[in-house]
Amino acid sequence: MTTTTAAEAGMLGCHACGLLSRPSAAGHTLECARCGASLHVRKPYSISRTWAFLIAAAILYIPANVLPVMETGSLFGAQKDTILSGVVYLWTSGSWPLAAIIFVASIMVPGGKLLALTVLLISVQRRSSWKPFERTKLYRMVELVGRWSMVDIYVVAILTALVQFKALATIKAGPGAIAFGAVVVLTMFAAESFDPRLIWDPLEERQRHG
Amino acid sequence: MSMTSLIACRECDLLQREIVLPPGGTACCSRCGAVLYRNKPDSLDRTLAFTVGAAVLFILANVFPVVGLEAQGNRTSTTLFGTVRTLHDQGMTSVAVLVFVTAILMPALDIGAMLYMLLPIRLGVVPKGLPAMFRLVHTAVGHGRGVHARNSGVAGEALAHRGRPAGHCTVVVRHADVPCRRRRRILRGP
Repeated sequence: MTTTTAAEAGMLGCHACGLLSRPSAAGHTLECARCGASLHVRKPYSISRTWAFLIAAAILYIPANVLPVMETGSLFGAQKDTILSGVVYLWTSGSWPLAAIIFVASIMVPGGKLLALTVLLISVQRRSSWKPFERTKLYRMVELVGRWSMVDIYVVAILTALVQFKALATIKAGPGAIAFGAVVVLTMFAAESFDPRLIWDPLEERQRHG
Repeated sequence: MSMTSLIACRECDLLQREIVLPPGGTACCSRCGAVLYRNKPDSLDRTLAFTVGAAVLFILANVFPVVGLEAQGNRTSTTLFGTVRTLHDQGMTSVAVLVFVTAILMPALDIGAMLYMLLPIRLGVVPKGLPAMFRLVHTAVGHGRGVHARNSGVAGEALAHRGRPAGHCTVVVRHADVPCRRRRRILRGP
């Protein structure tokens, strides 16, 4: 059975309310007749935007992991902790479930997102028709985990506000926290600007020509 | 065939014919498996109940301290906004902004916009500026992303009255699929 996409049928689906409209040939800006959202066949400049956010996130991923996210000051001296040193400390002090949570949420998930989006972008740019179902699923996962990667920032935020015992002990957020927050936000924007329909477009083309 | 009975998958753009769902049913894209729309029983009442509950808890969450700590007679506690202020005082303004936006502003906007839309609709009135509010919730706040709002949310139902009867469509269209299944038999390249 042949399949048809909305784009092939000359129709645009509203990204906000889902209404399908058939745009007139006139070149004015297109708006959804029902909810007023602007209409696009595909997200505008999807690939270049996603690359831009992705590359920025990849660069900041380095300081996020190298610079300290937390600076602890106490009677016994100051200590600076990176994400990884925090994980190691938790692991050696016996709280390995916590260590695992921080490791997965703060190191593996952002790294995995960068990797997944790179794979998606390259495959889309090469107009690959390789496993579109699995790639769509991968994209869904990237979108889903986006809002769960802020754990580290919240932990640091709560600790800095809480541990303020003047001379005894103080905790400050380190410069790594800024980089880490930026990585989380940038990967969220990257996932948002990627258009999963691009994964399926090469299949339509082959169907039409072959 | 009117265009209102057609739906485009927002993840793979496949055109499909809408099907009638039993209560609690979910329609999925027959090609990529994305959720197209749902038929949720008592959608308006339930959404409103959860939103009102969330609003009450959100106020409590911001008024009372989120955590407290006692060490050698010293006691400290902090509210959600207190964490933002401390971060700002330490010169970490960007992190403070991030925490404020994600933990306070976005939930507040989400709850506020939902109440603004749902309360009047529950009373049988279409609130002013509904389309703009609807777009705010669905795009900026990211609420209910991935599901066609018209069929999932009641706000969408109110919006549906604004829908234009559309022209004709002559393409071969598959039916949306129910229930959700893993589809692997996809048109791979020749």
